[in-house]
Amino acid sequence: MEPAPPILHVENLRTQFPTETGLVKAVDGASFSVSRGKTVCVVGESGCGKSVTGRSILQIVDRPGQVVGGRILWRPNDAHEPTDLAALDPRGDEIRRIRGNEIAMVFQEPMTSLSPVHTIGSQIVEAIRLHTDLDADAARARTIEVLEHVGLPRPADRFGAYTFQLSGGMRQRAMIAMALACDPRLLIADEPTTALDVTTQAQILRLLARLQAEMEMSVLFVTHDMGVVAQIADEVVVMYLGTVVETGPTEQIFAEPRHPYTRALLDAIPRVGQRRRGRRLATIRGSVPGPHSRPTGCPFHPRCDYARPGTCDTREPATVALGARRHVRCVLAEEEVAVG
Amino acid sequence: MMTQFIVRRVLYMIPTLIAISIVTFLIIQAPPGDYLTTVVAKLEAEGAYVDRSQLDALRERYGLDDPLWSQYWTWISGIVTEGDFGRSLVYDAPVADVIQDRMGFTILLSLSTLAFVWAVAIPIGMYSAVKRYSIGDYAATFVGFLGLAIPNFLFALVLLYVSHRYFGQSVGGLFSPEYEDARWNLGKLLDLLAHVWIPVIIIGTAGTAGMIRIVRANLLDELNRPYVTTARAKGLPERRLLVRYPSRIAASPIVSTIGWLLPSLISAEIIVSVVLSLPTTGPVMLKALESQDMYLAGGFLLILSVLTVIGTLISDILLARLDPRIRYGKR
Ligand SMILES: Nc1ncnc2c1ncn2[C@@H]1O[C@H](COP(=O)(O)OP(=O)(O)O)[C@@H](O)[C@H]1O
Ligand SMILES: [Mg+2]
Repeated sequence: MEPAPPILHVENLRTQFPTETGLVKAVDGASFSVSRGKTVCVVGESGCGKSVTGRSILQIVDRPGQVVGGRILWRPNDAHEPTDLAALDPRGDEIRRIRGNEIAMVFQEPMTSLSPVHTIGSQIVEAIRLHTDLDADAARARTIEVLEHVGLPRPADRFGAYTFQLSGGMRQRAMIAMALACDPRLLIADEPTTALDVTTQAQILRLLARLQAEMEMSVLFVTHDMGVVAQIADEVVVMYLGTVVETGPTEQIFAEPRHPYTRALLDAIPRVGQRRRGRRLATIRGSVPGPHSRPTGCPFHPRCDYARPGTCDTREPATVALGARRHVRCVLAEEEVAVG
Repeated sequence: MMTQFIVRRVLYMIPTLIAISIVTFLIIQAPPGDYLTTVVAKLEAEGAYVDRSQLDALRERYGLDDPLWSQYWTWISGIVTEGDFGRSLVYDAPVADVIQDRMGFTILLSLSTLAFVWAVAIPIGMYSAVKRYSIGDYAATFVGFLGLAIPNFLFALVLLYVSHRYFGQSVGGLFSPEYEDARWNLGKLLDLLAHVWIPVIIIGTAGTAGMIRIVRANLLDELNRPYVTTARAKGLPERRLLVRYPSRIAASPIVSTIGWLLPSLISAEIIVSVVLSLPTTGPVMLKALESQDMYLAGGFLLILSVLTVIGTLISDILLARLDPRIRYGKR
C-alpha cells in the first residue's frame, strides 16, 4: 500500500540573507517531511538554521532574507494537490490566507513576541476575525474559549490583560491560544519552552501534546534540547549548519544514531545523578562556525571524531536512505549502503 | 486607571507652575531699579513733568515698597484672579490686552506648523523606514538635510519673493491690506489661509526634516521586533500590520516631543514673524526685551511656559493612552 502523502514536504530548501559582510546561507538544501498528525522535532545547536527553516515555511524570514530555492509542498487535504509555499509571494494574499489559519506558529519569547501595548484578547480576536466570518462578539467568545482550552485560569478576566501582567507560563499559554484560535492543521513551535523554568516547561510540553491529540494537528517542534525531543517527538530531524544531517523515527534516532553529529548531541544530554557519579558532562568538541566561515565538504568535519581527511573536507556527502523514513547525510553511511 | 493617571499628572503640574511663576518674577525684577524708575526715566527723557502724587499712587498700586515676596504675591494673584498682568510700558496699555490679540495668532501658527510637520514627516519617515535604502529613502534623506541646512530667514525671503512674483500676493503679514481690519468672515478666513502657508512652511521645514529622521529611526527599530513577526505569522496584511503594531510603538517617542516642540516652534516663529511682519507674539516679545518692558516680557514668558507645561501634560496623557505600561506605572 502506498503510504499517505505527508502534510508537509520540504525539499532542498535554501534560505539566504544578503548582509553587508556577505551572503548568509542560513538554510542550505534542507529536506524533510511531516506526516499527518505527527510531531516532528527539528533539533540542533544554536545557529544551525532551525528557526529560519520554520519561518521559511510561512515565508516570514526577516528581510532582506528570503527563500531562494527548493520546494515546500503543503497538503492540508489528501484529496487535493499540494501547494508549493516556496513559490508564493511572501507579501501576497495566498500565503497570508495560510498563515495563522492552516499553519500557525508559536515563538520562543512570549514577552517580546506578543505586543506589549495590546491586550492578549485583542491580539487573539484579530487572528480570528482575519480568517473567519465571526463578528466581534463571537470572536471574543471564541477567544475566551481558546484561552480556557490552553489552561489559562479565569480566561474572561484575562481577556483584557497585557503581557506584563502575566507570568511567563501564562504568556506562553496565551501565545499558544492565539496560534490555535483558527484550528490550524500544522503548528510550528520554535523553542516554545526555552524561555521558561523547568516546571513550566514540563506543563507547556504536556499541554502541547494534549492539544495535538485533541485537535489532530501535526506539529513541527524546533528545539536544541534532546531531552525535549525524547519526550514529545514521533520523528526527529537533526540539522547542522543549514543542512539536515539525519532524520528518522525517535526510537531509532535514540537507539541507533547514525550521524556522528547526532551521536554527539545524544552524548551531551545531562542525565540524572551524573554529577554525583563524578562524570563530566560530555560536550560537543568545538563550536558551531559562524555563518561566514562555513567549512568546505561536510560542514561537520572539523568537529567530527570520524572525519576522513581527503574525503570529508573536500566533498559534500550525499543523503542516503537507510529505511522508509530514515535518511543520513554522511560519508560513512554512504559506504555502508554501497557495501551492503 | 486613566482618570487616576490624569489627576495625578495635573496635581504634579501645580508645583511646576508655581516654580515657573517665581522664576519669571525674578527675571522681571532682575534689571536694576523697579518698574517706576523705568517709567520716570522714560517720561523725563521725553521732557515730561512727573507728578509726585501720581507716582506714589502707582507705587501703591504695584506695592513697590513692599518686600519681594509680597510683590510677587500681588503680581501673581492679580494674574490668577483677574487676568491682570500689569501694564505695558511701551504700548501704554494693560499687558493682557497687548498679548490677547497676538497670542491667538501665535497659537494658530504654531498648531498649523505642528500639523504641517506631522502631516509631511510621518508618511515620509514611515516610507523611508519601510523602503530603507531605496531611491525614495535616499531622496527623503537628501531633501531632509537640505531643509535642516537652509537658514529660516533666507527661506522666508525666497518664499516671499516667490509668492509675490508668481502668486501676486501682498508681501508679509497674515492678511491682505483690505482684510487687515475687517471683521471675521469667510473671505477673511480664506485670505488668512492664503497667507499662513508661507510662515508655516518656513517655521516647519527644519522641524519636518528632523522629524523625518526621528520617525524613520524609531520605526526601523521596531520593524524587525519579534511581535511584528508574530503579527505577520497571523496573516495580517502588511499595511494593517505596519499601522497597528510597529507604528503604534514607534509613535511614543514622537508624541513625547509635543511638550518641547511648542517652545521651539515659538522661538523659531520670532525671527520669521519679524521678517514677515506677522501680528504674532514674536515681534512684541522681542521689542519688550529690547526696551526692558518687563511686565510685558514677564507676561509672555509666563504664558509660554504655561503652554509648554500644558503641552507636556497633553503628551503625557497621549503617551499613557498609547502605552499601557506607562498607565500601569511599569515604565
Ligand atoms: N535576520 C537575519 N539576518 C542575517 N542572518 C540571519 C538572520 N536570521 C538568522 N540568520 C543567520 O542564520 C543562521 C541560522 O539562524 P537560526 O535559524 O536562527 O538558528 P537556530 O534557530 O538553529 O539557532 C545563523 O547563522 C544566523 O546568523
Ligand atoms: Mg532559533
